Amino acid sequence: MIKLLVMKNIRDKKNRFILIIFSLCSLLLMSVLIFKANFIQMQNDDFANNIAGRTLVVTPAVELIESLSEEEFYNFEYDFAKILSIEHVQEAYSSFLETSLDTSFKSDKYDGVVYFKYGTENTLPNNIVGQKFTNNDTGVVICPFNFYPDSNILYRDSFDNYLSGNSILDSNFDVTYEIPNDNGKKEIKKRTFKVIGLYDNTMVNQEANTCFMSAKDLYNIYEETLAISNEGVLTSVDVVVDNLNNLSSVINELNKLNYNSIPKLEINVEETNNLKMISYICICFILIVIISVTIVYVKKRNVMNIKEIGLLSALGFSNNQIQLIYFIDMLFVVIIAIAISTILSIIVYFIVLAIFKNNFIRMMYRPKLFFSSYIINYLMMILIPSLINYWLIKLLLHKNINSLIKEDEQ
Amino acid sequence: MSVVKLQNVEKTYILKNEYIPVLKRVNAEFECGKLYAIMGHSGAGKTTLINIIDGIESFNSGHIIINGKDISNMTKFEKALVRNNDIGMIFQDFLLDDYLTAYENVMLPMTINKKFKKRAKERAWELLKEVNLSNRVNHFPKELSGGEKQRVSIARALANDPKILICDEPTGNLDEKNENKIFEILKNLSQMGKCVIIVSHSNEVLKYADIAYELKEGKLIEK
Repeated sequence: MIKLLVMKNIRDKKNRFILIIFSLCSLLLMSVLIFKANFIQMQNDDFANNIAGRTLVVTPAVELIESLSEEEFYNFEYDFAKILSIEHVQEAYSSFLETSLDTSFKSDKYDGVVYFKYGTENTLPNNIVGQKFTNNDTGVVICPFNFYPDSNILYRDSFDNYLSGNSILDSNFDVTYEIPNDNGKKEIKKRTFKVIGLYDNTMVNQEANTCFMSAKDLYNIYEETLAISNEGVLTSVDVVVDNLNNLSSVINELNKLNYNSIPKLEINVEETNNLKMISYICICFILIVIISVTIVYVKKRNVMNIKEIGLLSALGFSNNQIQLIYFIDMLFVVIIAIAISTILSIIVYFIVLAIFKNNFIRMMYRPKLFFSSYIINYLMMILIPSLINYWLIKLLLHKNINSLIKEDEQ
Repeated sequence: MSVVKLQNVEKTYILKNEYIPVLKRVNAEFECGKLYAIMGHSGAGKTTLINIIDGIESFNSGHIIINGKDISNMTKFEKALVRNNDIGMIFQDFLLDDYLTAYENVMLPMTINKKFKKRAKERAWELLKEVNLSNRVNHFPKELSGGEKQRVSIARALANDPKILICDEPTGNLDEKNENKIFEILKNLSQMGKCVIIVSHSNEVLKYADIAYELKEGKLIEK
């Protein structure tokens, strides 16, 4: 019977229109669901994977500054011991330590500027290939798999010119920076570093010119370059917390120590809610379209098939069998529609991915296809039309069979 | 032995609080091997009578026994089983599925019949051969003439080898030549042991009928 139904459906050209409509609805629904899932994933990636998500920028409270004399202000130092003793605090270091420096990667393609982040066992990414370093190691760095040593990373129009991780792992490069000498002039200092490890910067939302350097090296460079000129300047401190959920408790503890603190990465709640709301409205709209199209289509089709339904009854098909036939009938159309939309969605995905790669360089995030979005889409697309169809046929079957057979004569 | 027995069957329609009796204590027996014609003027209740025999329509009182089974108190599902196993139906406007070929249309009732399900395709071809349509098995209804469509319809009615064939104006849409052809086929089937009940306006059916009834004022009167 199923074979006959399938043959009938393939031959019935009237199915093509509904097939196109359902494919488009399914594609739209899938796109919205995937967009929403990606948006949430992007935020999660930003906050959960990017170290900045759980980093606080700490400054002295206004009351504390006002209570200081000029000399005390000039010699002000953070109480790192107390900050580090706060529960859930992993690291605390001057915001000035992380810095951009010129390197020997400079060439026709790159300006050679690399950003060096504070690397410790608490701040290094989890996905390192090669070796890690400790706080006391010197002369070693960890760089991205796809390395792009250029300060204009955000404004490049293509990622084609990446340096492959294989080519830089275990290789040396020079870092140059200016240090003031006794004569008040500046001299160029060169230091050599070895790339001992590689990490996936897209997984931790770091830009492709970001390398991790040991605390000791960063302190040394800071001492040689900025420490003198920053004397008397009040700097902020970056405080790394062990978990996103503990940010507020650490902020409270810092308040008690007379420090103000704000998260380095803040979520735009309004924007997030707006986007979520828009996606829910889109989903509702698509569902209404699917329901309306199904009702109109099924009613129209049933008017056409009304004799057929009467005939099936007359041939001895029970009501349940007839309902099953029309359920399968609709299921067949819907399954082909979701198969088409699945293929289309994959094509659309690759187009969107290409657009992202070429136009949204700044975003480390790359859109993904979410299995759960497909499942939700399949369930909605299968259940809604099939159940509406089942229900409308059931209503029709309450009519007298004879009146169905002779419907067009009446 | 009768395969269809009507005992005091009554049917009354209620239209806008008005009672319209259609069948008044109808008694009749229909046997295998005979062709019955039921005639009557338009609105006499011929179609109502055969729909009641089919189990398509309900009735107010009395008993209907089909192949030894009293359908009076059967559920819809049980009546559907009786229709599928014991009764073959032929309609005036053929009621063939436009998207199925001739043999697929004939296969349709067999797809839910335990006895013929497995060899539905072979049987459909055999039945089409019996009604002289072996050269039309893969044709769609729109490619067939009216007479050919009705022969496909007869083949479909025979699909589950029922004892009873009920034909509602089977030649109503056919010309004289095709009308006689169809009546000849139905006559042959009755001679092969089927109980054929034909409702028709056409007096032509009287040439083929073993017994003719007239439905008049709610009563079935043998002519």
